[in-house]
Amino acid sequence: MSMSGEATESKNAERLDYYLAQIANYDREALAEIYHLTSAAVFGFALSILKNMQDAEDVLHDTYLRIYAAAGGYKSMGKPMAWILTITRNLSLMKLRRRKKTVELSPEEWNLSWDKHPNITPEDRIVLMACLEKLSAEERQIVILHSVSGFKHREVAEFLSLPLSTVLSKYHRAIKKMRVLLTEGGVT
Amino acid sequence: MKESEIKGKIRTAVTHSVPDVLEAILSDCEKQKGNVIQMRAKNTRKQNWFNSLRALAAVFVLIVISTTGYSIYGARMVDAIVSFDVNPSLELKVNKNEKVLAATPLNEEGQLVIGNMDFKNIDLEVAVNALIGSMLKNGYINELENTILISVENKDAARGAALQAKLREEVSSLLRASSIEGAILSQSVSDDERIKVLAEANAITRGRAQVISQLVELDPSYDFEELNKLTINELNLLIGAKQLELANISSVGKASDKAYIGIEKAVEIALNHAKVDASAARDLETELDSDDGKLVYEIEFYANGREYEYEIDALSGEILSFEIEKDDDYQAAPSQPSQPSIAPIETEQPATSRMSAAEAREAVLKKFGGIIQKIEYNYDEKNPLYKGEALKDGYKVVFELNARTNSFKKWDVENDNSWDKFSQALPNLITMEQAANSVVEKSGKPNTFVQKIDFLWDDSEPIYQGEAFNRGVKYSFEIKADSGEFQKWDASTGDETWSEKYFNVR
Repeated sequence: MSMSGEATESKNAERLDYYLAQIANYDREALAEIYHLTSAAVFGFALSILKNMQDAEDVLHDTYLRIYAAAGGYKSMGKPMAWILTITRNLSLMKLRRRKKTVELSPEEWNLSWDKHPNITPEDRIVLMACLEKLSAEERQIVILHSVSGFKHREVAEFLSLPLSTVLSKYHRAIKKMRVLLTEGGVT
Repeated sequence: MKESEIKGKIRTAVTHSVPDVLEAILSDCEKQKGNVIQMRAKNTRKQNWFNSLRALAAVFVLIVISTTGYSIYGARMVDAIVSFDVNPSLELKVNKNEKVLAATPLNEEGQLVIGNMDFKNIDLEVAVNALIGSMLKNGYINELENTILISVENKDAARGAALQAKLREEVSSLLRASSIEGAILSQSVSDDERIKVLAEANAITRGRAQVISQLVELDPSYDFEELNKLTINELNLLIGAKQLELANISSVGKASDKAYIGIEKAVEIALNHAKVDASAARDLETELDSDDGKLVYEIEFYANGREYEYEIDALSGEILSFEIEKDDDYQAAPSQPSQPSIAPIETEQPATSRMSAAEAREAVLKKFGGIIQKIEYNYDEKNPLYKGEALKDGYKVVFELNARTNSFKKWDVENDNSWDKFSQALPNLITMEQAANSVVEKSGKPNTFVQKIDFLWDDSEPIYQGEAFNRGVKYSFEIKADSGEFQKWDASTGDETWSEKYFNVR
């Protein structure tokens, strides 16, 4: 890891810590800032667990309500993103428990999901479908945490309570699968 | 397609798919401020993307939710929250008349225990009877796992204490009736914001969060996350073994240790492994402890001029780690027979100069094979040491090498599979020795001392990273392990202590 990478990460963590301190005083602008900085990571992680756009959207919404309610009790340990994603994970798991399993969507339902989001390009659809349909749950979470949330492999290992070697091998296996699927899908 | 491109495409696709719900969040926050959290248990906004059947199903779910007591709208009527932790964890909200308002499972096992039972408006006593019965029936409470944690949260301390005592008695008699010798921990849960956050962040009961939090306070070497991996019975065993006194917690009965191998067996495993006869072992110390989310027996003893330390999995009896060091206080009797050695400790030889970094690396590889993952020269209280870790197929060794006596102070071998992830790439990478040599070469001074060097495999970009010194100049470096190119080279001055420390080694 380069020193500049570490410095950027540390700066990001400081920014998130700052906003969380503001949110503890019910500062909604700070909540909006933190939403802009982290919503992709939160939504992506929820989607990786739930495999359902609507459920992931609900968890996205609820995560920020939880952050708003719980920021007063947040104690900075230099890992604000892990704190946020722990909330996301717990809410996602609660959702799973309540309906006991993921709700598998039919291709038509997926198309309806995509149509609801005008920013999603045809290439994005191929990437997301490959990720959601062809990777295992653990592979999906590992790939999203690393690619979207910016976690280092050892942070992913710590966050998911997995050995680093497991995370690395699953990650590389997932990337290999994605490479084949994207090539087959005509993504270059 | 490169890995970085695939990562980029995933990032872009996810970013494009994030729905914009900020406005709804901010609006709900305004309503929420100072009130109960209004979670999105159902969609308040119109979501007509699926067919009408799904919409009807949602209505049905809402009806079920409101009739089975998951609703938060009855919060005003809640007088106490009672939680039960075994492995299943669940919470009951009760009113002043001790009628159940809601039953909430906190984990999958809790869900299974509750099953289809509807507790709304049921007497607490009846509900507890049914829940404990279900835990027994489903095998969650048995002679191997017999601890139940009962936690009561009530703003009226006296009422809370009375309810706690009543529940303890009730549960105790239910277990007796099922011929189970139970262990019951009961407590009042304080209105501590920190506990609430810990419970919420980990999706556990506040009662469990309070117990673990107290354990961490009493013994800061514990980590909350680690202890949270233990069952309540294991936590109870740990409390007993370490004789930890938790505030405001009442303990009845003895936690079952029948699932574990026991201290005697653990000692036998350690002695057999060390090839030491029980009669030759002295100053034997044993302790049940927790490590990496599991219970372990720690065994220490001295024999034949060595100090032995073992960590043994309390459940399986597997040796998780062991360490053998020279016993500095040992004076062998002339007639004492020698014991076979399983990990020879090198004889201390007086050394006039300190071992160089290259010699240290060579000594480790000669003894272990594989590769060195990291090695660092440093001082403990009195000795200059090379400390580090080396890896080979299936094993890792953590070592400490005395640079003055050239002897290994620590040699701790454990199972490890890290080797698998990069072993295939090794023939295409430069060695640590080559990396260290190029650092010396780049510094332009042959007596530059490579004080610390790590091999890092993260992110599939293998690098050698470390620090080197020459008098008062410090070099920080990163070398690409595949090409041997420097990707970082910083030289700084100003810390004169470095020259004192590293002048006579290289």
